[in-house]
Amino acid sequence: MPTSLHIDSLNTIEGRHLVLIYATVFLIQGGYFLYVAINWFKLRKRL
Amino acid sequence: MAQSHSSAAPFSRLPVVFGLIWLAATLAILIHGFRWALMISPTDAEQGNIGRALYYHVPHSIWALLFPYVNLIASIAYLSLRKSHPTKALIADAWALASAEVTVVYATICLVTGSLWGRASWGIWWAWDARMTSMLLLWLLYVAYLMVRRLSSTGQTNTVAAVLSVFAAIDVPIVYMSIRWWRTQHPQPVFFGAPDSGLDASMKPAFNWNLLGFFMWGVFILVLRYALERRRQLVEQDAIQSALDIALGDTPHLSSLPEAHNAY
Repeated sequence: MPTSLHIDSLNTIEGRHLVLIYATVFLIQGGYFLYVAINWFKLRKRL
Repeated sequence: MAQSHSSAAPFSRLPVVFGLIWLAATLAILIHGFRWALMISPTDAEQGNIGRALYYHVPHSIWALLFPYVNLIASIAYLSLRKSHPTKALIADAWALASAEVTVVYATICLVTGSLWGRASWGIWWAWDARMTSMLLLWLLYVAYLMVRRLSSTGQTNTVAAVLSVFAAIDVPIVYMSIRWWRTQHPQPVFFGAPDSGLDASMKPAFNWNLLGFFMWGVFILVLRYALERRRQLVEQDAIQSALDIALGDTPHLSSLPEAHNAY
């Protein structure tokens, strides 16, 4: 069994789900950060 | 006015500089944690590579149970200060809103990543066991809290939301204890569980770096969201004051605008 993740192992159900899990985290955290940042600059324009 | 503004400028930059340093440190730790999770940490002997989901799922689940307490403390502060110190109550209310949103973000990630992990490991997306159901309930409670705040048009919205948040916080210890009180599909406690529970030493660096990284990220977005809400409150107050001044035939009140710039 390899000690680290190999790119070939992503071509399985487990591998694809692992990619989805990491992508979900980046999308939700990044999306919320963008939402706050956009509203920050919108409000700044009103000042 | 201009003099006081310029003298205050160097101090107002301090939180921004500190925030940027905090963000840089957070991103460095998250990148380091990502490298450990996927490239350095060994493959789990029982689960295979899907076990690497643990490094993101568990930190989010842990912090999803921390931010509701920020919301609870802020809501209690709002309820106790709203009549005697309305300005301080508004600060508490901004913390309550920010922490509720961050709770929803972390709980959403916990539920989605857990479901993806469950499908790959158990062959099912969801099980109505005590841990998952109580976590879903927690998510629903804080979504309901945010919906009340956004959609209710009564003058008591913030008070109603604060009371709701006190009830919502009761679910947090139930989520934590669910895998100890009941037999569940969800794995038994890894931390503070049975004598043979715990992480293998080779997996601890990946877990600990991500635990720290997502805590620092959570604090960063919490403070950023708080600062945004304080700005919004001050702009709203200023608009009300200006409208009152116009109605009374006075010059529009603009003195709070510099405060709004330094709201954080």
